[in-house]
Amino acid sequence: LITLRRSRKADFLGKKSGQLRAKGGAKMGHNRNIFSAKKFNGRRRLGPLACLSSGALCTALACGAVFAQGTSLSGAGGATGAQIKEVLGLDGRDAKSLGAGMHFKLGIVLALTGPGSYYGRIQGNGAKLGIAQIKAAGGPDIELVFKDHKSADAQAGARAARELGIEGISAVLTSYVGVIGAMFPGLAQYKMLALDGGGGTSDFGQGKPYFWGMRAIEPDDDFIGALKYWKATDPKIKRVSLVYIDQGPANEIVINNFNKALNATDLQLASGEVTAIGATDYTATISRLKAANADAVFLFTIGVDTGYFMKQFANAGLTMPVIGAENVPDAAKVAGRAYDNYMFATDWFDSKKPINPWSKLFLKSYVKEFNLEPEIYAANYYEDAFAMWDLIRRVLSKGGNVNSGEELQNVLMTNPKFQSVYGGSATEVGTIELDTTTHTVTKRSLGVYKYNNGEPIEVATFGIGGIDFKLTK
Amino acid sequence: VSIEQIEQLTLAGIINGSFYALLGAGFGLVLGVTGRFHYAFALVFTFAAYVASVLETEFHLAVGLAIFAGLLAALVLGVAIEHLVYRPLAHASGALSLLTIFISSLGITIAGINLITLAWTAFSRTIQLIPVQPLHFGGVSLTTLDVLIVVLSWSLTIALTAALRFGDLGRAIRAARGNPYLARVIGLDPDAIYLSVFAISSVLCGVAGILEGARYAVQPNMGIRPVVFAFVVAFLGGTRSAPVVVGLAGLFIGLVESLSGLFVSPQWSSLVVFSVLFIYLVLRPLELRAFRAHALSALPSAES
Repeated sequence: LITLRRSRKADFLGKKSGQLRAKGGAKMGHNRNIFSAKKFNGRRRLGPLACLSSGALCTALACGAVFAQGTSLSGAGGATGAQIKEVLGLDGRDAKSLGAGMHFKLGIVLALTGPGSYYGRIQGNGAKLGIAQIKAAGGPDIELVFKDHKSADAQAGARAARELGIEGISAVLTSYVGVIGAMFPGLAQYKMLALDGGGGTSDFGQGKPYFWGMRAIEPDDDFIGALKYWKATDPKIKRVSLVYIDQGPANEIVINNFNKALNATDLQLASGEVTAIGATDYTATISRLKAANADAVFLFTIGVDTGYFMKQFANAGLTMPVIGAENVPDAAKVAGRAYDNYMFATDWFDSKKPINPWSKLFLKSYVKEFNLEPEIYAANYYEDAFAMWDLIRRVLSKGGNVNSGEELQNVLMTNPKFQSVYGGSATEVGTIELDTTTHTVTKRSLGVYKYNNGEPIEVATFGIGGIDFKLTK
Repeated sequence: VSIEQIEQLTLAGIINGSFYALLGAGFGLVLGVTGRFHYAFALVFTFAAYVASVLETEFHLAVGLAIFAGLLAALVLGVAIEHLVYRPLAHASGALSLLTIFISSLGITIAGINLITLAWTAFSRTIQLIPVQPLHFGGVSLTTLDVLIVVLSWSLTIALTAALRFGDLGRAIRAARGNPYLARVIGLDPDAIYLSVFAISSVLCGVAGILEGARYAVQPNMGIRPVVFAFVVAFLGGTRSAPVVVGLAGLFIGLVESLSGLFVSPQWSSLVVFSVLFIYLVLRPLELRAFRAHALSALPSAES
């Protein structure tokens, strides 16, 4: 068999080489023609060459014009460095103080796979836009080191913290409240400064070493705004049910805080219903709500679960008002028309109503970059990337080491205040302020929103603790 | 606890139970006849829903055509998995095939779900099967889609039972399930029968996937929980029982899951279901032994 195969191979090669030789001979015979063709082609190429030269000249001129305004790097959504510096009040700062030319590794732990991958994608978009704009504004070259926590897998979270720590990374953007607490020991061990713009500190992450929440506590900070809204708009509402996801030991804190908010607004608790994260069938919960005979429902479910709940709530014929703690467009898609009865109270980024100059720039560049309107999770991770840059600048101004999580946290403790795309005014960017003991926000703009024809419309605004509650006219 | 609450939860139990009946009948058929632990049932379930949804919402295909394409996709995927993965593995791993097939099935599911996410993103999709209208009877409520789920699930389960009992292919399947050696002796080809079983099971799974997509949403991980329930139902009903018996086990599971909401928080309903399975396996270990013996007996047919 081997001999047969070899002889066949030789035959094949022989034929092939013969064919090649024949082709080579033919080519030799037409050398002159080829040469002439080359000359002809050379003349024909002069046209495109001229076009290319003109194009290059035009590009150079255009670049000159752009450089005059400041550069816009790819991924920055068309925002120029000059625009970013102007908005953030960084004009006139020297390159060194901005961290130009420096390479900085920033960990980012998101739900890249699993049911929460919706969040991961949006949060990643925000962070990517943030680091591109930071570089365009003359800041450091920030490299995002992505880790997947597989949608709240505690082991994946703990592993992410360990891997980032071993890599010597000093700062990290986390989500799902430090992946439901599993990252806390790793953050403390490796002294990594973590900012969580996804879930804030929640109730169980308050005061944890190196862990800081960059948004209002969900749902606790939202309760008071929702209840004040009902109090102001519907006097018939007396008894309110709370439907909330199971957070283990934090459940008691959630229900206690809800009771406190009810007492503050002179309302009563009708019932408290715990549901599983990722549930799809809410028949039993809805049946319990019917039995409780509540006048209204506060809903704390996350992600697309809210859509399932609202769909089944409407199909069950229930019409009592529902205010949730969260809103994601994916849930709206799942619920369809049933979402038109949905309201939510949270620190939502309202892309229909950007308030301050930075939020306007963010909105414009995000839409340009991703062809998608930004919402809370994109906005939070965007501004958190900038908060990290702010800390880097502060450490640099002190001549410190930006690769030390401890030094980054020290400058944060000295001044726990950052610029924000939330709040502010037409001329001033907003601010977010943190508590140095609980590591949670003390100043943040929140609002109550109502869905109308598939769009959330602001109906009230309030601050942490329900301060400055105002109905929107 | 009010009467109205009991009525509502019983109705919800019947709806969910009917859905579990359909899933259990499809899963139990593969488990009982081939002895393969077909975890990739979850992927077939998801894939059918995705194909139907994409064709309906993006390509604006008529809903009937989109469903047909979804079921065809499920059939092709199920048969391909058996033909290209399970059968060669069964040949190669002999007595360990139960484990290797389960692990490969798990791998296919994870890879498939990730590919679906890559192709169609993790965003939820919808299927508009029929206009969904709420129906209220006294204090209880359901939707037109719930009615469709109950009717379709039981129609298919009963049709499958009848086909297995009276049809030629059904008799061949029962023969291969009973004794693959003897089936071969009388001129049947167990390998071809296994492919038919995968085809039937995949179509049933596809129907369940599309119904689930219409009821809730189409998502990459939508098949994981149903496949676990399908396993519980198939085991509880008996891996060698008629589909309608497996269906009744599904109904029982649906009612237990739903009515447990009267006594415990809904988040613990899955725990109640698995407790039922655990108690059953403790009280009736024979079922487990019979399945293991059958799984091993099915091997030579593939090897020959």
